[in-house]
Amino acid sequence: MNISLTRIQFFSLLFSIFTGFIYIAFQTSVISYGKRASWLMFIAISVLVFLLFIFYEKTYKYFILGKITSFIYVAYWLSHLALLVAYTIYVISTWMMPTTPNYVLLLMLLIPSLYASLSRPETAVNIGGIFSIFILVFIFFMLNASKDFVVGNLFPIRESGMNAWIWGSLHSFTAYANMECYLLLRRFVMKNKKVAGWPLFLFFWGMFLMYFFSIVVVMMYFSLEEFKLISEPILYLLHSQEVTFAKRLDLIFVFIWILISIITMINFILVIRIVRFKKQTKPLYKKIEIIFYHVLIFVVAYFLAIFEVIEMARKYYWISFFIFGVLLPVLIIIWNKVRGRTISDSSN
Amino acid sequence: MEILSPKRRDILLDDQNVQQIITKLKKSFYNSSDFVAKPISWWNGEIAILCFYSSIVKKTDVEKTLYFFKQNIRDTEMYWGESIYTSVLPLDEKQLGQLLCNGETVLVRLKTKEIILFNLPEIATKQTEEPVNEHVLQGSREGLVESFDTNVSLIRKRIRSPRLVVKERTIGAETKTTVYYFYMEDLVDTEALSIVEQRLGKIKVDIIYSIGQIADYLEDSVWSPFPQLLKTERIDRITASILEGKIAVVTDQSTTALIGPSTFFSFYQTPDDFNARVLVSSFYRILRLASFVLAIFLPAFYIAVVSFHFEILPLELSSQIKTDLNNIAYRPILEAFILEMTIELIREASIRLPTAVGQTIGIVGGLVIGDAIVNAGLVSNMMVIVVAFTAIASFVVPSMEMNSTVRFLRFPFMILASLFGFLGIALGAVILLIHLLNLTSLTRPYFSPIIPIAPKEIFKTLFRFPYFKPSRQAESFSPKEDKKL
Repeated sequence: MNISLTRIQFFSLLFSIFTGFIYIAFQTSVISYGKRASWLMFIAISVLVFLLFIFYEKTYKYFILGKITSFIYVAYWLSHLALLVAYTIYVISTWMMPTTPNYVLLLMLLIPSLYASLSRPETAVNIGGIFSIFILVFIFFMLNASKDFVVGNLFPIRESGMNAWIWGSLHSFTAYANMECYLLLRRFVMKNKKVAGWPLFLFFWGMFLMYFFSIVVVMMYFSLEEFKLISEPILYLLHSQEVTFAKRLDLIFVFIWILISIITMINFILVIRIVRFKKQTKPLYKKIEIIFYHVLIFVVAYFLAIFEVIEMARKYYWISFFIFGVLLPVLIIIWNKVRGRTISDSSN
Repeated sequence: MEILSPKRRDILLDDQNVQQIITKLKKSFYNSSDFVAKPISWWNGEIAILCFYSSIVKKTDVEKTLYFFKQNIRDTEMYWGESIYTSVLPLDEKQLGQLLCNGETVLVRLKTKEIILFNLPEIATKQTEEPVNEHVLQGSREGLVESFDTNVSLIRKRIRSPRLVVKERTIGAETKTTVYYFYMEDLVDTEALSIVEQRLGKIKVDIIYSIGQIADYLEDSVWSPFPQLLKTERIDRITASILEGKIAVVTDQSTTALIGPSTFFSFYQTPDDFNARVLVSSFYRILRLASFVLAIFLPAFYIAVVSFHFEILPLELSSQIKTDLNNIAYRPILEAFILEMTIELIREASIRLPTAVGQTIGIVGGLVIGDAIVNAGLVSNMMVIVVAFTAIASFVVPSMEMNSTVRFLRFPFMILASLFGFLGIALGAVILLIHLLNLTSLTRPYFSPIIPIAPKEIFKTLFRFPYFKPSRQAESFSPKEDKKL
């Protein structure tokens, strides 16, 4: 598949892939495990991830997926998507549509994704930029709760022991899930567009600020004990806000979050399309394959959308990111660097 | 047809024979009552046949030119028959019908087997006037008319440059409609131009009677509810578009031009934007764009709230609406449909009726029926407010076609909202957005400058800057191919 990305398109795609599904929920696991020093752990992990990004920027040309690794990644992304879609419909049925059957909710999420995925790739490339702006609306309304913030909730940081530091840090990785997408998409950025240096710095630390803000705000608003009970702290925070024009502000934000989730799904399918359709394939086969992926996600997500699975995913979710976003890419890069093989060789 | 050039060359061209030829000629034109064929005496006793359609020929001018020819010109000189209005061609009977239909007067010289054409047509056309559907507060009042020459002169009056090019094509085997397109040689998007030429060339139909037919052939996606070519009757709008590198397609049968490639946002701009104060016109431009969102989503949002998410409303408003809805027998979607259909009926009726009666129908419909419908308990007060707001918002769009699209689109959103609440609206919104992203106008991105994103152009779209420099539309979804914006 032949696409070319501008810097804005590249970063907005990544922004959507990183933040899309998890922005309303990742804080719970980070704070539950990391306790009061969670915000500090998040800073530390972010510094590490930024160094990793710099490493990826320098070595992305060695990230070549062969047949086996492509299969592994496609299987991972599909299962990852199925789990995230299951989580999304779980949230929708909890917050918004308790009586609507899960298969209807699944159809509602998958139909637009299928439509976009069957369209030209540029549609999926561009769609992310539009709804990313809604995250700013989240931030604005979260500030509305500032009068109830307790800064003391962030301290004392020494309460978090070694165990909390280890687990809190590992769960902080959730925020930067799917770093392998950086490596995959980077090769499509137009040659004359510089990504390294300031652009990458601004993108990463901008995203960091957004995440960091959400962690700090929910920590100041809720006590540590409350995190055992609340799975989507941002929605709970917005739920408790009183504004003149709406009684349940959280519903509007669930609505916005659904939009963002659908777009993230479209972007993930785009990544799968990039990996699967490297070689010229007949358009009909491509369409059949895309439809198959959606059917697969539908079936798997239907069975995963239960409380126990969602809870289990919360506990062990970070492992997959670590394996597929850090370990495997680093191994592939080293392997190809040793062999002296770059993406330009693989495309020839 | 071998009427004017009989095979027997020795046939005598006496009066009797000429009369026979004329009878046959009239018969070949189905004895049409406005078809005139008569013998006239030409130079040195030569008999010629003059034929024309009396309904489309400027007879007095033809008479004067004919007299001048007869008295002053002889066929011994080179180019003897060529002038602004006249030309001489060898006799070709197959062409004759078409020449006459174009308003030419034809003098057939039987002796020399040649024809003299008098190009003095008088085709009924109205005077240029302000387009009824595109009122402006300030600026030009001129609109297109159904005449090639007048339209070209109106545009040339504004663009006095030899680089303004007008090309012409005849389409329709029966109607022979003249389709002509304007562009600036140095500014035009050449790929879009070749697409227009290619698509016009592919039109193989017998009848072309409206610009809408041409639009169907030129548009990239006929089944989309969104118009991909801007339709306008305003000369100032056409010239501004041509100067932005766009192509304007006009026919001699319609007062509407098609402008492409167009973007979604160009439908929300009016010539008033460039005549009013900078800040004021920027404000109204943003207001118009906001009205798009309001017109499509407001009724759907209301239906979703009262059907699924009542808890979103503040307590005071919630209890008020609940009390209102308790007295209504129908579900909110039915209420909305009743009111929306009433508004659509009133609108349709007021368009078809004469202006004075149309206004009365509007008042009767809006006030009397609206009040009665609420008193009868068919719809709630809140629904009247919502639908009225929506109607006003949809009429803000400067383009009539986009206006219809917006009014049409709110129905699927209302249905989705009544079935799935906010989730339905989210589904519809994403599908609508994907559709807009997929859409192209002459293969150029329709949702430009949002997609592909061009921050500077977005500002230009939203705000009217003091110095307006014409800008080009993005030519592809991959910006590297684009020229500098």
